[in-house]
Amino acid sequence: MDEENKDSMEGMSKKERRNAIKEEQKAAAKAESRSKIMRSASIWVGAFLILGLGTWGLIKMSGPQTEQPALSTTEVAIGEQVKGAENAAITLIEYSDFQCPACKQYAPVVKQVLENYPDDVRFVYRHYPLRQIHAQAQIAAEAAEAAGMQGRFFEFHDLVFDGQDSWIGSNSKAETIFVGYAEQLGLDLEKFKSDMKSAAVRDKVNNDYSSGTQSGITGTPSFFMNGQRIQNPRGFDPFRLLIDAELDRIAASAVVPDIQIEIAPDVDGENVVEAKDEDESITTEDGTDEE
Amino acid sequence: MEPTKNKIPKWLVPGMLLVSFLGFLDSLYLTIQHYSGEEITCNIVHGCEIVTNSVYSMIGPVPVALLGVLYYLAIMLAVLIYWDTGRIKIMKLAGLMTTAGFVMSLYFLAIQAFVLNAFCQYCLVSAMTSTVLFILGMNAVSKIRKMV
Repeated sequence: MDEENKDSMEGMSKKERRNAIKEEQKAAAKAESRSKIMRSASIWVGAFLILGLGTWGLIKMSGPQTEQPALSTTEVAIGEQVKGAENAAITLIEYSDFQCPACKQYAPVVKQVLENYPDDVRFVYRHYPLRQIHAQAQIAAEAAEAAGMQGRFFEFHDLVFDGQDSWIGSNSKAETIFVGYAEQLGLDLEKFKSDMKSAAVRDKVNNDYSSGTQSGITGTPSFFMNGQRIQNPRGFDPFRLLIDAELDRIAASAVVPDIQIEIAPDVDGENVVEAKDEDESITTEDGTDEE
Repeated sequence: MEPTKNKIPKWLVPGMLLVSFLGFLDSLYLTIQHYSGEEITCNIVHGCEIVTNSVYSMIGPVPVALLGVLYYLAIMLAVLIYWDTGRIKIMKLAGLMTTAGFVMSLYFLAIQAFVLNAFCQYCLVSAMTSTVLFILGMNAVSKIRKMV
């Protein structure tokens, strides 16, 4: 075999050379195809990386940019719009939309409730702008929150509801009107305008909205009394019945009967103590609810 | 074949990729906001919520923003395939597809201007990217036609 090979190689040096050239071409083709594969790979891997990175960045960016508390219907978080006695036995949460006519009608009813139960009811306003049907509801909520940043949420809330008919027409008009309300309340207008567009305010409204959806509401106004969804009372008197019933229930509640009924009358400055005890009773209730 | 292939300007590929990537991000953002139910903030022009909540923001059950995402993805995919394989037919297809995007953009621009009287800045960005894509795409198609 060896000899034969040698012979043929010596004999056909031309053929050998041709073979060598062929080998070379083959190697070159191989290298070329390898570099082609490398090129393809870098194109596609690069494309997927950039696409993935872009998508990821966008998802991160489009989420809330500010820290927002988890809201439930049984607790009031820091930074919420609250009115009424801090340690009241009843916490009334309303999910509302500034552009909704029914919400406007309920605003004086709620006011009446707070006036009649100054020590027993604490009211929390949460935003539930029905954006699909109320084009200005979102910016109204954001404007009110901006006023809230200067401590005038509920004053602004009243103006917005009172003037509802004037601003529901167009977005830019609404904004001008809201700035007018801010001026009327003597707010720092520059701050108000920039707060109105801020991520903090937008995230707050969106956070309220999603907590409402999580609580199962679909429309406005929706009321929760101490965590319980209540049917919207038709006016102040039915509301009074509900509140009285809830106060009775709390007083009779087996969870805290001795603390609430016995201690309160004995101590000086009973209001303070009573309120404190009631507050405790609520927190225990919440605790058991959550567990 | 080599010299004819070079007639499609080299900058066209990265150009189309870049513009369609921008359009992709833009419409992806609108799609995410659509499904998360969150409101988008408008800093430049007014009426985002009017536009993105309008009946024109959906075609049947499909949000227009999602169609945009798919459109820009398709353009990117086609241009990438051309870049990888050098197949001129794919580039021609991408070029022709940009017409659809352009026509849709004109339609939505008209709706924003004449029906809703409100603009949404992200929709305007998409109108811009699809217009630029259309110009680039037509450029590619005309070059390809001259080759044959």
